[in-house]
Amino acid sequence: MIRGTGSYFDGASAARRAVEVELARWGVLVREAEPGGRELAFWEYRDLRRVDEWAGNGPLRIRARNRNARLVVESPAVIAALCARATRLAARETGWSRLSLRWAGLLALCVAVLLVTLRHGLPRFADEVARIVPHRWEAEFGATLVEPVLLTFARLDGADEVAYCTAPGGVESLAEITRRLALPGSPFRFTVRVVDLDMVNAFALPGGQIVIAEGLLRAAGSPDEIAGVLAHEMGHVLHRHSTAAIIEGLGLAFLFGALLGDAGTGFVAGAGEVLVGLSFRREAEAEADERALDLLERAGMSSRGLADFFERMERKTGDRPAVLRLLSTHPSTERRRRLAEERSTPDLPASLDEDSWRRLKTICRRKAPINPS
Amino acid sequence: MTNDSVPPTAAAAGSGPEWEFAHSPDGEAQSSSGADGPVAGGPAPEPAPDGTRLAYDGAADAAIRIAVSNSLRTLATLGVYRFWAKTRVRRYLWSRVSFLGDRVEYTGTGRELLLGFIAAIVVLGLLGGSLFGLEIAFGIEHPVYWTAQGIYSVGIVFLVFVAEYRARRYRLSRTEWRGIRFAQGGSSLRYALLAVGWTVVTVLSLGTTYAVYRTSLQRYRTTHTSFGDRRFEFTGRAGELLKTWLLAWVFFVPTLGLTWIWYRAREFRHFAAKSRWGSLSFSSDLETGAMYRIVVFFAVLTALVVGVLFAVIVALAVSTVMLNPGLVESTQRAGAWLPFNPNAAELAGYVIAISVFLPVMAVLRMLFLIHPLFRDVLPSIGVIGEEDFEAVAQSAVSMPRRGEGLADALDVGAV
Repeated sequence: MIRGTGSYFDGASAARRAVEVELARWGVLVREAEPGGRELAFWEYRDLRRVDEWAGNGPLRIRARNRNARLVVESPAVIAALCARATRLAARETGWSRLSLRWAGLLALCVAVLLVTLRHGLPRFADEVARIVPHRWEAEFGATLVEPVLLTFARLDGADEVAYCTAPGGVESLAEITRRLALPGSPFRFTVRVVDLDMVNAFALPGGQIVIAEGLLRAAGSPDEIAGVLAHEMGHVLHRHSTAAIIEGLGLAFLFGALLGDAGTGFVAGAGEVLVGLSFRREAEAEADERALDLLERAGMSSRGLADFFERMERKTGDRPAVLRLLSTHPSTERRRRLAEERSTPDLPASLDEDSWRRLKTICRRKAPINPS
Repeated sequence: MTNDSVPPTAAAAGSGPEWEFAHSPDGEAQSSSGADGPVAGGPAPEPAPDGTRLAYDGAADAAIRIAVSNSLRTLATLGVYRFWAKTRVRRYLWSRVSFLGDRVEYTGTGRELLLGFIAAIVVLGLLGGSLFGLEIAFGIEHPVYWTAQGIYSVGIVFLVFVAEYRARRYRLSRTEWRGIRFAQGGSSLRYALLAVGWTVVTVLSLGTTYAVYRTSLQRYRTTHTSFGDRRFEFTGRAGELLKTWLLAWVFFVPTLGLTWIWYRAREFRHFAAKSRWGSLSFSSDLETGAMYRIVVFFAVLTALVVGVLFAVIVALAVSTVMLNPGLVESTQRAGAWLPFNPNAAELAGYVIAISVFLPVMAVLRMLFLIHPLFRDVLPSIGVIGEEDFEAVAQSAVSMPRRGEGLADALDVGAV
């Protein structure tokens, strides 16, 4: 018979009782220490659990499953015997826990779940939500976003201010291309504008707000290039890509906030900020390209211009030093160019006549500055 | 085999001065070797003549092991393990604190923390989501939107205090001594109202009434705390600390904020002296110098380590890119596969920074902040008087089922 001393706390009062601990056949018998003391508890070995994270070599504190009482066993011999009988009490290996196979597996699982969520779950969710946003909301939302986004772009471009280009002839030319590309009877209304930024870029905001930077206009060799880019941005609008991207960005901030533990602060990130750092996914770009080719075809314009534009982009990114290319987010343009070339119909007239094209090129002769409010 | 003739430390419950804790009856030292020195007992090796003290006998090496293994597991689960990590740390720290020879126990689980966090995320997500809905529906210039935005911003401040109080409720309900748990009643809403009110007053008075704010919150917390079936009492008054605080306030800027530590140490001693539980009263001889050492050393060390690590990572990143131009294309292709298309440098930077910083900071925090604070603060607390613990029954205050979700989501930090 193995016996030793210990202390017992019954979980009902804060009294400490000096007890005698006896290891019986099936479990631990706890008895009051004085001679003829009464029996306080009998715990089966299989129910015994350790209480402390890091017990060291001192007394062992244990509990029984689903009980509030606690037993501290003091005699080392009893502790050793007890650990041999109750398998759950054997000291767990808690030290320099090597990243065992189990943890490596868990890491793989977590990464897989996260990637699948990011790759499929979140974009699908964002697309679905974007689809049910009413057109009127989207239009108003886009209209409030345009100027903050332009001002941020201007700052990134090193400019202090930014202005819409408003020379009447140019505006007319732009409106002509837009009118020919837009589908009659569509719920989307397009607002296309040129701003005096040097970047070779154009972007689409929710609800049909499309902005073309003067840099792009200056680089373009033909009106068909502008028509191609415009059709591409219209494709983004029709697919509601920017609305979906904002929702996705917010969802992403929320998700990472949840993982790292500060969802409250990360969540209400300004949607404008999300947009500035925005680049569409490859699928989105492909969708917009496809839609652009459809729109061009329907309007009787050549997709040769879009192909030329992609070629220009390819040459441009190819020249940049490695460090800069690392910082860029543009996917490969070669395939997109080939697709546009394949679908181009030869011998179509240019989208604008010489005069209109010249007027469009000089649209920034008159400007309406945007005031930071 | 019953050759155990060493008498257990237990004699009779309730007798005071001759108790010795912090070492096991068979005299085996708990791995408290190393530069750490004697960890139990604080400045006075023997129980003070005026009563008994809390004891802490945590060991630095065990604390480091827990911190390292926790941060590796947290990395391996992309952060999800942190609930269990917190639980492990608390189980260890709590179990190293003892009073009258009996150790404190933490009974919380990682699962409770996870569930609490999920609940909080749902609530915050709905709030943030509906605000975004309003932004889309009305636009950012519409009065409905900015009214809602204003309410939300104020509400978050309010929620921080709610979270703090609820987290304290959870932690106390999971803290036991001699099988009897602590509890916190009161209302987190009322606490938050009190806190926001005094915060406004403190701001309006340019910080001069900070001591009033502190005392009033301490009074609410203490008087709503109970151990077993008895509540704590608090007799402190703000006026008694006001002079101390004003002195600290005047010299706050010239001393680069060091007087704040001086104030907090005095405040701690004051609050301890003004607290009672049953027939027990408390005291603390917390040394201000010890607090300076811990806080300043930790701040300087953290700044140094973060600075050096950051420089090393940046240097490594730049030289890698310079030496392998081909690497750029391949990482870019990998990055393009991701939905949000971050550029590859950013992504690699995040991954490296998180996987290096997280473990390093966790270990530094544990070794140079949490462990020293437990070591110096808890044993400074003396307990005066005698109490019949036999008569103290289990608390009837209901226990929260989940834990600390809001505090975690809003990043209201603590151990």
